[in-house]
Amino acid sequence: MSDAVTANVTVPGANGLHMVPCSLIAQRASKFVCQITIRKGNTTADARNIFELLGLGAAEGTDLECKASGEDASQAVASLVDLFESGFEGHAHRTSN
Amino acid sequence: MKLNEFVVADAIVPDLQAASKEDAIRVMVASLKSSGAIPEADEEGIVAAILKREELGSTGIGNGVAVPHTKHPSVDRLVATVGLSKAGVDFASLDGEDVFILFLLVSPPDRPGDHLRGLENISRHLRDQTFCSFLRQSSTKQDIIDLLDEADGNQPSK
Repeated sequence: MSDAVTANVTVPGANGLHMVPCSLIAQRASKFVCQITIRKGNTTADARNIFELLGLGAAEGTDLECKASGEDASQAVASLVDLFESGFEGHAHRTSN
Repeated sequence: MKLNEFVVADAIVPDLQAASKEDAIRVMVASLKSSGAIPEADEEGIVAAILKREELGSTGIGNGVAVPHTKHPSVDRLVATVGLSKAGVDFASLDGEDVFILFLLVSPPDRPGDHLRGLENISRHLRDQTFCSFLRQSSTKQDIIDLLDEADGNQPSK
């Protein structure tokens, strides 16, 4: 029923996963009911928790694993992969912070 | 990167009196200026840049915490200060709650890695409820410095 769905993503943008991308990830993740985590090496963050996402300290080019389990896991992972691949577009380019 | 490597001890505001988000940012930037961490001539520019960043989305990220920040060419290394508001400040936070703990960061534009490591470090500590609770109970600069030292894994330095 709740087999985990995973996908690998790479951090875009020279600024890495700073506050704007982390906020966007948390917002996007909150639209789903499944559990979603983002993992960098041995550190795992709840994708809805900005503190944990920022705590990854993921710089540009870092490989991350996005993992979800629950009823809408596939959609959630696909949606987050889209977000990474868009380069957090529509927001990231507006901020140099 | 440790907290006490970029938090400017002299610029800490243990009893932040601010009626609004803009007030809070102004007081904290002024404190960085008074401590010599940023040039006086750039104070207004830094305040404006931080306010502009807030327009993109509040840096009030929940748990009573806000991390207003900007990049600015007037600094050649990441500098930050801490402000504690007893009354709470309406920061238009993501969770709708007032903020009581503020970390304000100014970083050089050409060093995104430092900015990210600063945010990483602060976030790791601020997701710890015990740390937040002790921080909110701090009433002097020294209390806060000791707490940051402890969080950094150091013995409090006297």
